[in-house]
Amino acid sequence: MRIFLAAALFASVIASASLASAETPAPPPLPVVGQLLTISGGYLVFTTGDAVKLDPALKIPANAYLGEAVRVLIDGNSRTVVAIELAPRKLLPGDVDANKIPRDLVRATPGSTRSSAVAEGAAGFGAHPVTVTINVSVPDNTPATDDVYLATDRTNFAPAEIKMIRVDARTFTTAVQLPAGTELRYDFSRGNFANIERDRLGGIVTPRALKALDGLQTHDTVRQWADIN
Amino acid sequence: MRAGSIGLFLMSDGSSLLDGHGSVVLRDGPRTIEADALRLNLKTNTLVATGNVRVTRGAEHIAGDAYALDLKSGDAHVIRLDGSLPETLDVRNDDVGHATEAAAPPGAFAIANLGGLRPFLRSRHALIKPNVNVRLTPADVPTGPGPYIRTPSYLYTFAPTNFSQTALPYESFDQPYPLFGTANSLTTGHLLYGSSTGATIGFDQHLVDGNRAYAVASILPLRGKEINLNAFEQLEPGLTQSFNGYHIYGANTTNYDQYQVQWTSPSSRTTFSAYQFGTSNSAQLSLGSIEHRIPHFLTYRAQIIYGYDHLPGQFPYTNDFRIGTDDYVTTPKIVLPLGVGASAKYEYAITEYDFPHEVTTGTTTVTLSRAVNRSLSFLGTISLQQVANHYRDPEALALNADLPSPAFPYYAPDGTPYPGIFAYAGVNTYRTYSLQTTWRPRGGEDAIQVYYTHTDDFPQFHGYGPPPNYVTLDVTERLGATLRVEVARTYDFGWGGTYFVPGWSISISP
Repeated sequence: MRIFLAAALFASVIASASLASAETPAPPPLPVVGQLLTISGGYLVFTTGDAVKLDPALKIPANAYLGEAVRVLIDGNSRTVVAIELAPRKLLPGDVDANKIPRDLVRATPGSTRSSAVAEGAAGFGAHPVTVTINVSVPDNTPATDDVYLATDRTNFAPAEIKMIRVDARTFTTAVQLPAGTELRYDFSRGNFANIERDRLGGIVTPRALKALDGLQTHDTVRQWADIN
Repeated sequence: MRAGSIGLFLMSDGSSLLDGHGSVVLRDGPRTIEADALRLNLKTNTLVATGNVRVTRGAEHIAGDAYALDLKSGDAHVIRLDGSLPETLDVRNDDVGHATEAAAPPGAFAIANLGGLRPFLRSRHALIKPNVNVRLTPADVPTGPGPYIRTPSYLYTFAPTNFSQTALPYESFDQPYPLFGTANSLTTGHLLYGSSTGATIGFDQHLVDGNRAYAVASILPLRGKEINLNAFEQLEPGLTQSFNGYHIYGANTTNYDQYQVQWTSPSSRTTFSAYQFGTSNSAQLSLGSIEHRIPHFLTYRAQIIYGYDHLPGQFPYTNDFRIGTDDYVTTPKIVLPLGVGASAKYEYAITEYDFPHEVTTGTTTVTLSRAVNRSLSFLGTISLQQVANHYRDPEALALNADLPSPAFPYYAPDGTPYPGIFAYAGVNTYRTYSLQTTWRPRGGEDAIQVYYTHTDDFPQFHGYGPPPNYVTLDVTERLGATLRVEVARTYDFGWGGTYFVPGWSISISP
């Protein structure tokens, strides 16, 4: 039985070697998605700082702007960009983020060469939207019929920016969609400047800060309102 | 900064960007940057320039195809593509004459993706005060989704200072137009529209001292002639003072002023306030606890108030002293069968006047809540309130309880006469029952809410008092990356001879 298995394994290795020795088709161009820094001097440079050689036959789009999202096809054999698509609508299976472009495709003088791909940075489509849930407990003397509002630095703290949903007697909640990584500053009011929140000692509240992560939940507390002793 | 086209973009993270295209020139002290395109982040004071970049500082200069600069440190990175291979150069402390070759750190050239965003303002010239403001001359200002309007100049403030306080009266439309500003002050013109004043203009002046103090003055010089002043100052931790006042001039001259000083300690709060309205004025001192929580048992707050009112022409007393107390106690939230959360609150207030009059208010509120799942939740509230006006003089009751004389009864909208004080024993009763149903798919931003409220008050009849039943449908929907809309529709049912009285409410936010 063992002899039979060994013979079968050998045959399989031989077959693999025969296949490997046959002429392999050229790999398809690598689709890379990123943000455009510049196209100049025969190179396309991503905002990661990585430059890739352009195929001399490639026609450069006239309306390629700084910071625009692009999908490029890089031929692995020639290490050149053979196609440029501006403002692609969505990521496709197989797309490689410009942050993770293989280093052998990047052109640079030895002194300018990075040893590895960028671990993080600007992505091709910018930050994806995430939903953050903000929960707040209010003082017991909050009038039962009053609404509570979220005010953020997006509107320079307009006091009635987003009406929150009452959860129970003392708790309100709202969900806010933000680009991932957004730093949001916020505070609470009951709808106008006369009834904004105050800190524990009656002073002006320093707005809270959060960094948007998917599924992030805050649990904040309003110490007192400006108009209620 | 000059360019063939400059766009000011407001980003969803609160930052603002200047995006210049076409022969961009940025002058910053002794430094001049020329490029085909340039993106300046006004929040982080960093910029990225590309295309025929030339940076000059004094007699020295550097050229390249891309350039990233931190304006605070003067450190920069340059990419050159004119050699046999791309090279990256480091510039330290703005020393453009001594750049050294080195790999750029991660994120050195990172910039926001504007991805089809519409600029908030457009211009060809921008004068930037770092960390304070930028003045665009001329400036094209957008009109909603429509075309841009050319204005000679527009000042956009991005200082971290909070200039959001206002002294202008509430108007249904308010388009601010910043005129002048520094890091701590801002002068703004306003185009206003209100149901009472119609279209008018206003101006306000903000002075802000960090989180310690602010003063905002405003004037409506044309219609609705009015001057306002709101000020707040934290004198020291726990001690604050504030002033709010308005003066309406012209045909209907009115004055109102309020001053308040408040001392808050870890366990108590003392407030002195003084009001003046026309020829009437009053002052009061309140001494109270802050909100005390006894874990797993009760939360309470109690305060006593002593006040003085001067009411010229008031019968029988022009000067009236009063003393009262205003207290409440609440239960913690407890969980009942079926996962229903319940809590209760009782509020009690009594005020005794020198004038033979006593007002007592007692309110009981019970709240029941139930989250069925992540998307569906219910909230029910029952509120019972009694307000008792005790006059020790029946004539005073008739005169002061704001009730109709039997000789001149009120008539409801449908013509039914109100029975008058004979049906009134001095106690008003307010009963409110409400149910809120919320549907938020997966707890996200979009939501549908239905509110139903039933009121059963005394007095309440034939259009007098709140409608017995009303329903509100509230829909929140995100329509785009920077547009969230909330629309609410309210119906009253069969009150005052009318049915289905509609009311709209629309709110737009980023």
